Amino acid sequence: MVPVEHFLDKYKSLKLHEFPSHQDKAIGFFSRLGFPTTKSEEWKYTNVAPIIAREYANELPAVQLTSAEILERFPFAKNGIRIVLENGKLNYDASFLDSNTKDIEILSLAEANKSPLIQSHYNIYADVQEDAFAALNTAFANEGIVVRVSRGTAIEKPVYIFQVASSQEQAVISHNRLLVIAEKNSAAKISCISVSKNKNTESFSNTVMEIVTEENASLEFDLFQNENEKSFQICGTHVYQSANSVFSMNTVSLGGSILKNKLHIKLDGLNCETHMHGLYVAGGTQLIDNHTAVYHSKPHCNSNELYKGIIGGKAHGVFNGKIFVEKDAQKTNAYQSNKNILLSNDAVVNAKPQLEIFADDVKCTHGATTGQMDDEALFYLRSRGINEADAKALLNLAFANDILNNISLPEFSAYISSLVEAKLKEVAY
Amino acid sequence: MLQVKNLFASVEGKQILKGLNLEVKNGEVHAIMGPNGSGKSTLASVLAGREDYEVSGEVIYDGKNLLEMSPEERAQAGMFLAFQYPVEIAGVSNATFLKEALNSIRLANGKEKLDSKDFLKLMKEKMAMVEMDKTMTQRSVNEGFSGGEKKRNEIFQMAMLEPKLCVLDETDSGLDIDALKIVSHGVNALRNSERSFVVITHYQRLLDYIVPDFVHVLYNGRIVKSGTKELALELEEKGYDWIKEAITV
Repeated sequence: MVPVEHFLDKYKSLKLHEFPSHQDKAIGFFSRLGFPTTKSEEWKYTNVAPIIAREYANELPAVQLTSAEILERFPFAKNGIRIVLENGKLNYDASFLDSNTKDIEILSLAEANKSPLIQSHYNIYADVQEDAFAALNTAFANEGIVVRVSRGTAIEKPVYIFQVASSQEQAVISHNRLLVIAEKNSAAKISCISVSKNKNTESFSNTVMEIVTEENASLEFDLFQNENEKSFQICGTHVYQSANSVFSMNTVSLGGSILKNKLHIKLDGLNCETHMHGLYVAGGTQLIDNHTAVYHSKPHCNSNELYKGIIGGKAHGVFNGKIFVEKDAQKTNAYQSNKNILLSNDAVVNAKPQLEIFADDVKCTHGATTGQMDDEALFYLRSRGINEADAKALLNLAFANDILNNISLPEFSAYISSLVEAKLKEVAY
Repeated sequence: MLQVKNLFASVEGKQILKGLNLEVKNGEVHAIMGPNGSGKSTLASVLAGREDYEVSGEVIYDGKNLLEMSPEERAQAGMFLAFQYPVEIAGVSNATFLKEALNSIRLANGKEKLDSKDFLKLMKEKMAMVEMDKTMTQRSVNEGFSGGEKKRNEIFQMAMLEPKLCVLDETDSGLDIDALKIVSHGVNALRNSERSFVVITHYQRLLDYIVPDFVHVLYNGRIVKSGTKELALELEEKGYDWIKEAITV
């Protein structure tokens, strides 16, 4: 059977909630699109055949994680709001939703079904018609959550969303669906942590996140991806910014056998500010692919992007950054930079900046570098008594810190740093 | 402390050191002067352990065969090279760098690591010695430092790591008189009966401040003349051509 039909047929029982209008259309789009092949420019380096070929369970295991387990593994979460999703399903017991506060509202998609939030925002920003995986997610998302930050509120507590993939005898498909709305004049910090339950988990996480920052809202969004070596993940993040809003996204990608991120940001108001920081550290035979696109539709917006990669072993890093500046988007400032370090002879990076600029009064720069570690710096450290392996680790961490320093939650940042350090030691040779 | 016997060094097929001999005893300060192209930087690089050179001959440091030691092993054994052009290392703070270096050396010598408190105390002490700004330690290594600040940072590191043999590679290049005085003061404060210095320089001026016990002239890859500090003054007066003539005779 053709993969598309096979998927529709075998896995249709996975969807739990009825959202017919969106789901039926999505099935149509998915059927029409089919899975992407490497002949498509966007998927040129990312072959999804292994993902499609794998057999997945047609039933998801029930949620099992407990609060204690989550807090033991992620101690930084004890001071925040936490939303625990297992294979995309909300685990109420393990979560702490703080429903007593009016500052923030957290709902499952089913609960939010009739709400105007859904009418105005759900599935509006994701590229369901162009991307087979977004269509698949919309068709089969078992659940999903909506996070709304109330207008005029600044949320002090961090919000942690744990996306845990968990399998039993067979591999699972975990469709994670998230809709975040930061209402006018609000401010919040939301962090997504994507992990496997344990080292034996086999999963395909198909994640779609839609994020809206209304006028004057400010949102820091951190995405930490650390699934195990047996996992696949396709993650599409679609952001819509209104005038005077500030959106910062920090993506740290360590795990996964095949990991592809798509980040699309539309600046649809005056004076928007956007920061995109990404770090990817790959080793073994990992593939980590980051495709980003910033759309400047209105004047006077500033976007700033820095992605850094450290690739070792026989791993493959891909970076593709697009900047579109529409005709009316005068006085746009758009900066993009991609820096990569290759640690081994077999490591590969493909980096491509793309600029399409139609306005004439703009400042746009882009740059991509791929190189090896700075030998002079390495020699300097060794000449002061630091052993070669330690010196390399120090230099790699320094390279990564440029990105890690943007994560403003101190405990969460420390947690990520220690895992990055450990991964750097692993991929060093 | 250091015995250099018949040292040859070439890079990319070009022979630069052509049988250099030098002996440095504990507590001595030796100045090595020479015109451009004589091999000064090569000597410093070979002593530090740069891998770009093809080297033959013998270098005995503290009874050990130096040429078989890696750069970190040389540092752990007490050698220190103050670079002519110290590199900038973005993202690694001076403090982090020095703590790692100091502790690596201590561990290699059977000592325990210094804890943060003791390390900070040591740093404050040595910073005062080279008149270093407090903010320097949090900045990335040499990043945004002026030439003088970089050289001062080299001497600061030397003070922190307390090496047995210090090789100063044209430490005075690019320094004005004030910076020169501060750097020299730092070096002089480290002089004692155990510690040795090899001061490589083009100009005599540095030697007014760091007064050497011995002066050697390096020309065409070999030490062609040795003497005391008066030799440096003679060179200053007569220029390097005097040496060239004296040799051809």
